[in-house]
Amino acid sequence: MKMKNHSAALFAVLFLFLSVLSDTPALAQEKGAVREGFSAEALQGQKIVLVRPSVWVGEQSMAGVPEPNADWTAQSRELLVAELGRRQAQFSNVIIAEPELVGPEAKLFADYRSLFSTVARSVMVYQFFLGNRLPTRKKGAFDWTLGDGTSRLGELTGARYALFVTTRDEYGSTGRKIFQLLAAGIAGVGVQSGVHQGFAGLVDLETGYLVWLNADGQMGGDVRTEDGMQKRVRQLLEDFPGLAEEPAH
Amino acid sequence: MTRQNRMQVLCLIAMPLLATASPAMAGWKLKPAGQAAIVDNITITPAADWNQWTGRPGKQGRTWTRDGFELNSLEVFSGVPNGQPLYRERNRKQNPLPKFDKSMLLPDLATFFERSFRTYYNIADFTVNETVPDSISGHQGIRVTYRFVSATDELVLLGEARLAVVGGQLYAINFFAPELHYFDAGIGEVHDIMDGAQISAK
Amino acid sequence: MNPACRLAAVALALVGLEGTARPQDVDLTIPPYSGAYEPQGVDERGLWMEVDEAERQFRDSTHVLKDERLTQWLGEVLCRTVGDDRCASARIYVVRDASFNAAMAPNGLMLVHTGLLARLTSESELATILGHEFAHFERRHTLNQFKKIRASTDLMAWFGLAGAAARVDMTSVQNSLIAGIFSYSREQEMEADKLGAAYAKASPYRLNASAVWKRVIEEDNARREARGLRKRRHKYSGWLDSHPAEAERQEYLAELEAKVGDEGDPGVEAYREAIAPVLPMLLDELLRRNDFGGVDYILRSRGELAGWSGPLLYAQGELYRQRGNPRDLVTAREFFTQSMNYPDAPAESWRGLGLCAIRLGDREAGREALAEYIRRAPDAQDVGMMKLLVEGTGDQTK
Repeated sequence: MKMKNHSAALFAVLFLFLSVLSDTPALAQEKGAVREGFSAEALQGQKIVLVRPSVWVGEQSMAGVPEPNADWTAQSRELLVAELGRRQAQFSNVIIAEPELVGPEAKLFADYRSLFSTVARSVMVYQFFLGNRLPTRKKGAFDWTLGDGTSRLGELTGARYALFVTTRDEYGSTGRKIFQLLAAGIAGVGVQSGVHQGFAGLVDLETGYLVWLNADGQMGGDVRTEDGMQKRVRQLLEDFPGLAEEPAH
Repeated sequence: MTRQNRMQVLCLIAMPLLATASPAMAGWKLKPAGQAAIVDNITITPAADWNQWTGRPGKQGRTWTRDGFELNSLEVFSGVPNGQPLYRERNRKQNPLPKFDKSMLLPDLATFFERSFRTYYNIADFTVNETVPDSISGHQGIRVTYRFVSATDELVLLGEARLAVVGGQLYAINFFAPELHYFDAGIGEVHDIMDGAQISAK
Repeated sequence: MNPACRLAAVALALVGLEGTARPQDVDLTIPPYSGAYEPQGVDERGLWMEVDEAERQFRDSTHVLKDERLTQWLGEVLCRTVGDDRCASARIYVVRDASFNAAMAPNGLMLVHTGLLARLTSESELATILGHEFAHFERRHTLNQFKKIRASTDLMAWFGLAGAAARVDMTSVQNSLIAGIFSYSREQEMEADKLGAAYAKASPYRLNASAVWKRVIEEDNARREARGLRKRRHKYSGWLDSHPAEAERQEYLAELEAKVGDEGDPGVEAYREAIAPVLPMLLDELLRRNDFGGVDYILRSRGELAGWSGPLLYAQGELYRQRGNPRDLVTAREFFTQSMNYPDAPAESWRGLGLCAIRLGDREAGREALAEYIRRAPDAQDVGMMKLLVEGTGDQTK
């Protein structure tokens, strides 16, 4: 849905309004899950390939239309890579970087990055949001896959698992914030200013199963700053089975 | 020019979007395996459990999914009348949808479907692989197989649609899913659903 | 961040600076060429490596049209425009994208959209735009923007700019016309335009900017009119809002053109010949946009300025046939029939004629035309469907 005009934005306001009125548990949300039968033990001694993170940072116009910001994106990617590098020592597994590939093999990684983002978003929207959980997923089992074609990534890297990280941040512009205030005045509810999505997921490359996922549409941490990125990565990797506790700050 | 536009068209593959802002919006109904399901004037029988969205992609349409719209979507359109669009028209002025015309010939249906689909989902990179004669519920129609790239994630998706005109109204069943894993995983059952569809039109 | 041609910006930049430089003050001598910019220091050399790597990947992209003849011709036009010493610095890629755009990266990579080729009608118009882009390159306007974009994935996004655009049908006004106008400052646009005019003066071509600019505006108006929208009062956003009216812009460009002189070659015939082999593809891309008014304008103005042809009349017919109102079918049939008078009429004209005729109730003529289509294009992906119609079984209107 393009939130390009005011009616669309108003619709969103109305929508939130209704959802708040009807029942608040609808907005209740889970943030992470582990596939049944998977545990930290399964990870022991296994190599993990860290797939190049997908990063997008931009701004929301008044109507909520996201516009990319190249500087923020570049900066945020640098910070994310640096922070993941810093945290690497705390992993109990051997972490290898996505190899520098060209041609069809590079494209294969890019395609799976896209598929991971799509699957992670689907988990968030259709399972983690309790009010929107699909009836076929009501039993709550965490059963999602990228398909067993991922074994090709295993062959290319020698890794058993792949760790994917995706962040998408849309900061509210001034116009958006004013609109937010107005909407609060009219409808009595807040319009969300900004999107701060983060997904981190571990995929078993032999089966394609998503064995562990953190996914949240409202993550903390300003990804444009070093401190904020530390916070974001902490949140992304929270409860990661193969990670030693980070000393408290 | 383009990243901006790409992102502006926030519509991933349309519907789930609002969901990120307000998940409560969509409602769902279980369509259990093996049970005949009536979608307006079409009866289909899935082999697995599906979820039917309580919203509608178009006035005469229903969408089913197994894992979310972006991973597999099965759209069923039952009896689009003369002069109406296939999908809901979001922006009549800026992005008008083509209207079904009962005088359309079978090849016109393929063009109509392509234009409707591209516009509704805001897909620029869309290719028809094949248009061939086929049928729904014994009525002569067409089958269109296609490939497209989603606007948000640059993910390649494949799709297959069957369309037929019965009693001056358009009937269509359309399935699409990512090329990686999901299309192949779903198309077998979808073929059975399409082959077994029964139209109970006037 | 997206450097792009945008004639709009050219024109606006020109007019925008009241008092700073009226056309009569513009110095139209070309400065000596210092050669393509060589990266300085570790940072820039790193950046160049990334750009080169990105270009290698871009080269294989499905969005790049691999047509040696066409690319070579574009290179020749550029060389005639900026001179042989300068044009050796440029490598041209034709990008499959129906929007009106061209751009040049600091390492010499030049992008030309198919949508640009579809809208231009002469080599002199093309020369004006390529010259303008080259001037940005020579003045190193893109360098600073590229310095900001460090990560190679972002560079890919820049190179993919076309690809990304191709994925989104830019039918809304703000998208199709002005997006990205801010890549260069007004001063930079002004500077590029001056240098562009100087190239034109020294080249065999005449400076031909105002006509293209006028058509871009008229296309936008036609699009808006077809959609029942008010004409835009040049709300190009930001600083452009408060800028002089269109008439003044036109006047300014015309003044500049008068100063350069019109004795140069318009190059209409040469353009038509060069573009002919790809014209059906260019037109097909336009037809895929959900933009009846804009595309109708492009096709008509092309016919009037550069002459009608089989493929052009076929595209006109197809545009009306696809909209499909009853009177559109009559109009479409007329266009298809006219296209058959040209030796380069595509087989699809017979298909279009056949489908229209059957829907208009003239089944006999329709089936005959479809049979002719099948004879002319026996391997088309929809031949099976057409055979049904010829046999009289695929027509559910009966």
